[in-house]
Amino acid sequence: MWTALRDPAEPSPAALASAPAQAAPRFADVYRDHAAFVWRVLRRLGVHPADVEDACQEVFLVVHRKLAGFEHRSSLRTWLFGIAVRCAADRRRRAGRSPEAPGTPVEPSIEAEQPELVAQRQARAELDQILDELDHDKRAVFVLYELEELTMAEVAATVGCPLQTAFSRLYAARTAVEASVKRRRARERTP
Amino acid sequence: MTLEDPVRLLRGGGPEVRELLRSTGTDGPSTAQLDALAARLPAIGAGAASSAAGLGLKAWLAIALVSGATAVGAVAWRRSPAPAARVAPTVLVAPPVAQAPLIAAPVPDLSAPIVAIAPVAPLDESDPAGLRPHRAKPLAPPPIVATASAALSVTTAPPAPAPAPAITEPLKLELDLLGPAQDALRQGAWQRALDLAADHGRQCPTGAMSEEREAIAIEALTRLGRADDARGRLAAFVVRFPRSAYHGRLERLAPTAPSP
Repeated sequence: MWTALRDPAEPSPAALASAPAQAAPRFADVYRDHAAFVWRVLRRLGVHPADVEDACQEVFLVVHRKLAGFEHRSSLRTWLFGIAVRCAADRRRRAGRSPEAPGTPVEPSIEAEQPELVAQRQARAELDQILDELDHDKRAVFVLYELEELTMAEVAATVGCPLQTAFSRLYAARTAVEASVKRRRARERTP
Repeated sequence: MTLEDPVRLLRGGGPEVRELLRSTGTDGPSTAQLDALAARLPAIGAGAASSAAGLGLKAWLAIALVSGATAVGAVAWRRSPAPAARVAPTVLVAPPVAQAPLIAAPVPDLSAPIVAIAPVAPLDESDPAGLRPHRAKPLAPPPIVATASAALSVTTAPPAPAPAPAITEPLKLELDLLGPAQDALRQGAWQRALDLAADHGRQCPTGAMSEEREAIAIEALTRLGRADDARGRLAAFVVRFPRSAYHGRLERLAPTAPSP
């Protein structure tokens, strides 16, 4: 699933061996620079809005524990994404066992006088349903490229797959998303 | 052949797809949410790395241990955000211990380092870990290690601060019980989490981590589908810990009581 292929943009092992050792980044810096990214990615990988903060904490506790051993063999963002993916998958598994999880509305209600917010929330919920139909690999590529706006080379490096594979996943994800949207709109038009 | 990045759907997709993708504009956290999260993360540079994450889910544990003539540390466990509204963190303070003079006594082995205890800054309730985004804040100073030859300068330093909190046996016992309970919650072992919380209740009924124990138990009861028990315990929790930072989460989690 999440294969650990070497990022083609990474330096070679020989170059790494001869390069001076880089100090591990400071935890506070990592948090300041990447917390919002981790938060968004968790949300977009399917973590329930009410659980994102807990999931994000989980990710950064892992980061805190392992940061001293971070060896710059991948970019920091790639490393964080890997942790976030595992955390999101773990959360989904646990949610499947929880009596509270399936479709329980936990977000606060929106006042009736804010129709644009209602519409946005409905659209967001619909997108969640559509993304839930994708497998994890395609969803990750779709999220990173279409929503996080990474380049495809960055996407391939982040999810740990060859560039061609990343393109294949992106096109497959796009096709599935567009088909799902069409089906849903057609159903809405059906009397 | 070089593959070019395609036009993103947000710009080149159909209007319906674009509308859906635009709805993700609010996925990011607010500054307040990041602040709240920062308050739940371990302090930095205090030697907390080894055990902090082991407690998992909503807990953070910061341990600062500097050994020498005395062992000094600080432990705090906190689970929830809202720094401004939080009550004081749960910290057990060890009985004061005599500080060994740093240079008054002759130093028999000049090559042996003298470990001086660095002043421990008081916990900043609004940002204990110095993590608040977009704010440069120096972290707690590292321990000072003074050699014998440098000891004279140490004696002219400001008076030593009050003794720092230390890990006590009761606190260690509480951590030994509630750490696995947190792990069990994280693993979805709700009944085990509840059992461990009950163990804590029997062994440390008025322990410093009673609030955390009750929060664990309420979550476990909810996940087990024992709605009535969870509601009852939550009601007692609100009375016992009226200013707890766990209220929001527990109230979202626990089933709402039926309207009269």
